[in-house]
Amino acid sequence: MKHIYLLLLGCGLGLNAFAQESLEALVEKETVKTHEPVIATYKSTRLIQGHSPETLKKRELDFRVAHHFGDLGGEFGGPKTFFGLDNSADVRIAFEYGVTDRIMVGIGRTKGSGSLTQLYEGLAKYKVLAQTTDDHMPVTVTLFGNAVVSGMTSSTTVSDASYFGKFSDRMSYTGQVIIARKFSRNVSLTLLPTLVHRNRVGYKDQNDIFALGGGGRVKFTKRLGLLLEYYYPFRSQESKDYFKSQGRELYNPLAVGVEWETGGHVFHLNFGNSTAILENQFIPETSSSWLQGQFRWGFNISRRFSL
Amino acid sequence: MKKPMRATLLPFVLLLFMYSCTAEQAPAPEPGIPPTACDTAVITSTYIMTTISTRCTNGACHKGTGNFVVSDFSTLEKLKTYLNANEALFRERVTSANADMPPRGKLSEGMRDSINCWLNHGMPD
Repeated sequence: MKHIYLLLLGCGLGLNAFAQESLEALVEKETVKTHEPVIATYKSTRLIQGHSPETLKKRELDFRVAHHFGDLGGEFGGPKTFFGLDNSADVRIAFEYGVTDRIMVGIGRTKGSGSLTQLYEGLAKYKVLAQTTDDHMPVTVTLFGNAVVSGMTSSTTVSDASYFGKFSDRMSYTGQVIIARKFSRNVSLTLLPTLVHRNRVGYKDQNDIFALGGGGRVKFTKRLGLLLEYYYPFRSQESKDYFKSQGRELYNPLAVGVEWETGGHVFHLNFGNSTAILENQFIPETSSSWLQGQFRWGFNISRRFSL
Repeated sequence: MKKPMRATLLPFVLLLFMYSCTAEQAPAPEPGIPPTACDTAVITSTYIMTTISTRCTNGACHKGTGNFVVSDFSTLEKLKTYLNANEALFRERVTSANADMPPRGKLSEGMRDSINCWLNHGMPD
């Protein structure tokens, strides 16, 4: 009987040791194979006015309202327009939806601020690569694209950009690669190579405009952060000179935002020189300058629903 | 999204984009009046009111009713009253490069120049 007990104990120990070994191997295997994705590079799907690398979660519906007011200072600002609040430069209302954790689509209506107005937008965003905590993947890469159609009445002047000879003249597109890295809990930086294509443009304007954007977030405290976003559109000198000769100088869009996290909500206080909200317009058509007081307050309201 | 659906949808969307993607540049505009022409140009209130009545008060808008009690352009006097108080706002929304009024398409460049010129001259009759 004693021998049987010893035998059973021996077997049990052996099994125990085996189990421990296999658990260790499993844990080791897991840590080797699973590269944890970095979360919350940014709080929202938008940096300030352009896109961030974030996408919605699967089956998440985001109802968004964006607003840009009139000039804070300069000729059209000051107390007479209550620092631009009397005028809405651009407004966007949109529904965006997470098809998977990495793919989101959306539809939106934007007032438009530029040569075209009454804009209907369809967008798609796909997170191709996600940054991992172990730096196996050092950056997050997201692709963004939209197609925009204008519903406005065609101009009767052929030289206007808003003259539509055919339906496709109303269309414009944006394609963007969003490359982002969260360097630490407090610093996230993003590079935004962007191509804007407009099917029909005004005289001496460019159908294709490539722009390099950059932006980021620096958190000063646990709750307070500073956001920055800037685009440099590569427009030909000839085109720039022509617009200047017409009294319409073009500027590079620069936006600054303060992010304040209150626990339940994240408040953004944004200021930028571009009047338009959509990339299709604010990258090629920003004609207001920070230095002339032509910057404005803007805000995004986002309400997410889990379906 | 199921894979077969994605596989069908994506090429379709790409084809649609490729089909609808064109590139056209508008012809050169007709030479407008040089900026200094405003010094000698005679722009009358009647001329401005013709445009206001066809573009601003012809529909339901700016007749002094409903939402348009303040921005009432139904008569020259009322238009001037509004402009005396809100000239900067009017210029930004109607005659500036970023104009968003009238909502169905801004006025022609020539007309915007004329309105600016009329305002610069102090809205002469």
